[in-house]
Amino acid sequence: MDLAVVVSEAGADAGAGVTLARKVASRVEHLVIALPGGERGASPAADARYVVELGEDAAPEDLAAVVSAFAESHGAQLVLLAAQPIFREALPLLSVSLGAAAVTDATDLASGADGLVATRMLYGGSALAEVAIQRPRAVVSHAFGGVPADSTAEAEPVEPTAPSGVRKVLSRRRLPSEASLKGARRIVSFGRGVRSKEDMAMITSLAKALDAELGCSRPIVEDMRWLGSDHQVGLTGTTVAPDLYLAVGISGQIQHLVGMRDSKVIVAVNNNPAAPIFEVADIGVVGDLYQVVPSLLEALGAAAG
Amino acid sequence: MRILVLAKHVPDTTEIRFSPTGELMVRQAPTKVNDYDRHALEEASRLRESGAEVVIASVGPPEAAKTMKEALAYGADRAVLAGGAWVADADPEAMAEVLAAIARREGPFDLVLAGDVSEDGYNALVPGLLAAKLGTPYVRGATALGVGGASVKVTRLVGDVEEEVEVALPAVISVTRLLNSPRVISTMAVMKVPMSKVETVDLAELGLDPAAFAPGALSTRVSAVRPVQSKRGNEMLRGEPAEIAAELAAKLRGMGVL
Ligand SMILES: Cc1cc2nc3c(=O)[nH]c(=O)nc-3n(C[C@H](O)[C@H](O)[C@H](O)COP(=O)(O)OP(=O)(O)OC[C@H]3O[C@@H](n4cnc5c(N)ncnc54)[C@H](O)[C@@H]3O)c2cc1C
Ligand SMILES: Cc1cc2nc3c(=O)[nH]c(=O)nc-3n(C[C@H](O)[C@H](O)[C@H](O)COP(=O)(O)OP(=O)(O)OC[C@H]3O[C@@H](n4cnc5c(N)ncnc54)[C@H](O)[C@@H]3O)c2cc1C
Repeated sequence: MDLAVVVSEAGADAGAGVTLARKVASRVEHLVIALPGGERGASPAADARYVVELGEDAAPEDLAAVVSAFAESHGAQLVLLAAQPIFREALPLLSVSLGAAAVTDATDLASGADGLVATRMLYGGSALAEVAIQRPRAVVSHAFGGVPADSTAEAEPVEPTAPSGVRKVLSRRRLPSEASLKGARRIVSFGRGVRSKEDMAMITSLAKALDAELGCSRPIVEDMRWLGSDHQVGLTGTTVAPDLYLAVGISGQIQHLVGMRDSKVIVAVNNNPAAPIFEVADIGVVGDLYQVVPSLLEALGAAAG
Repeated sequence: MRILVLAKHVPDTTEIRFSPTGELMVRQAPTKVNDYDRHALEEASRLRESGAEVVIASVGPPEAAKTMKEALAYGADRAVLAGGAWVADADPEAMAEVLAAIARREGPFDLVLAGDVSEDGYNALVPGLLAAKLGTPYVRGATALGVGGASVKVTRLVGDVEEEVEVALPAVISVTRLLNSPRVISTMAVMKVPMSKVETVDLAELGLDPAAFAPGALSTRVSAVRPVQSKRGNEMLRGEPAEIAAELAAKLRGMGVL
């Protein structure tokens, strides 16, 4: 195809998007969404760079409108959106306004005999599907986080469209971040095998002893509500790939595995020898976490002393 | 107040297996109401207790009629299920087109509630596509809802920012699992729902052209599905906790990950 437009927020690296777009388009333009007067970010060797300024509480409708107008006037066949929360709501609106096919969380793009083919996960990550695009245009979001960008060439300004006024933002509040799982070298993660909120202290100690971040499965966040969502590993949480992932009392359902299966070394502690987590583990410890974790703390303490 | 709830019939994705030759065995998996949609149904049911009328809309195979009974058991007036052979290949865009036709036929609605994502497709597209087709506002990720007068207030998390937004009704809102705790539905309660509350319709009855839903006419087509293998050659440690803990610590040190 002739032209792909990669769209990302300023400050977030757009490297992955441009690399992906290069696989299927001969020309790649980068549209940066920036705050008024704010940082412009970098474009990793795109053929052209544009910037549009939108306020912090700009609505997805406005984002969709400006990207749609840009794609239309430049004649782009592919709009590739970064894996950033602000694009999630805008994507379907954008695809309808462009009459384009829509694909979310693509992990790969290729030019097939009949046009663009996107790869994405299906069934919680147990399968990969190839999705053939059957429209002249596609709006795709990709599943990759930041990849460093190197070019900071001047960007040509793009005028935002008039605000739609569809939504009123009544309040905005940045939540204090509790965990930074992304990029962590070691993660100790626990699940429903931990029976009470008080027992979490044992896991926190283990994480401290290993100089690891604290992760958890979905029920700990969404059902027990013991931890905030930035601790959650998996399909709806964070995707991580640390050197060491230690899973304690986690069964290993596919939606959890998909968030950690690329870790370098995976260790699982579970008292059920048939738990699926053992299938993806390098080392499996069959035992009661209430005995194994204190013992492990001792073994690690001994090493330190 | 009239509310439309989107409820999808899905296989239990934790039960999906691959045959030794790598074929997906979806058919054998038990089916149910999509996880997130249960929270939309619960919210609608609570609004119904204060006088709202609740209609459920779904696109799915004939077996989905059973799932509709489960959805109705949360507390809704009736369900409309659109189906036909075309459903097997339908993509999110086609699903949204049919759901829009149901919304128009059964409407007008003040509020459309949906789940944020489905467990099987995980496209997170249908509610937004539906809103764009109906020309109404769309807000996703609801963790709290306040419906009043002519507008709805939605609390949600966007990255690490919690925001409250207000949009005019009618609107499409998709919800997360943090919105509420759905009531527990017993098998008995599902059995008690009369099948007469589930109306099955086809494309023609919705005024849609079947030709537009042929596999080649859709916006996307799944051309291949392959399993993801993540098995590792694992080593199992069993025995006295103190011994295996020491062994594990030594191994991790040996691997250079401590
Ligand atoms: C659409 C969708 C998205 C999802 N997204 C995510 C996600 O992002 N992240 C996620 O984690 N899940 C996610 N899930 C949920 C997922 O399917 C599982 O339900 C969840 O991961 C299970 O959490 P768990 O392992 O803590 O609990 P359980 O499955 O209940 O497992 C607890 C484990 O602890 C073990 N255990 C119990 N007692 C002990 C003991 N004393 N010592 C040692 N072991 C013990 C048990 O043997 C069991 O294996 C999602 C599901 C859906 C449908
Ligand atoms: C064999 C097979 C082939 C497939 N082929 C394709 C394909 O060609 N292209 C493709 O993109 N996908 C395909 N899928 C995936 C499937 O079509 C999607 O699940 C469907 O299109 C809707 O997308 P979603 O489920 O991801 O919805 P999402 O957008 O993730 O759903 C969000 C919410 O929208 C509502 N909703 C979604 N769908 C329905 C529905 N049918 N009825 C009622 N409410 C609904 C629910 O409230 C749901 O919580 C295929 C799946 C299978 C098993």
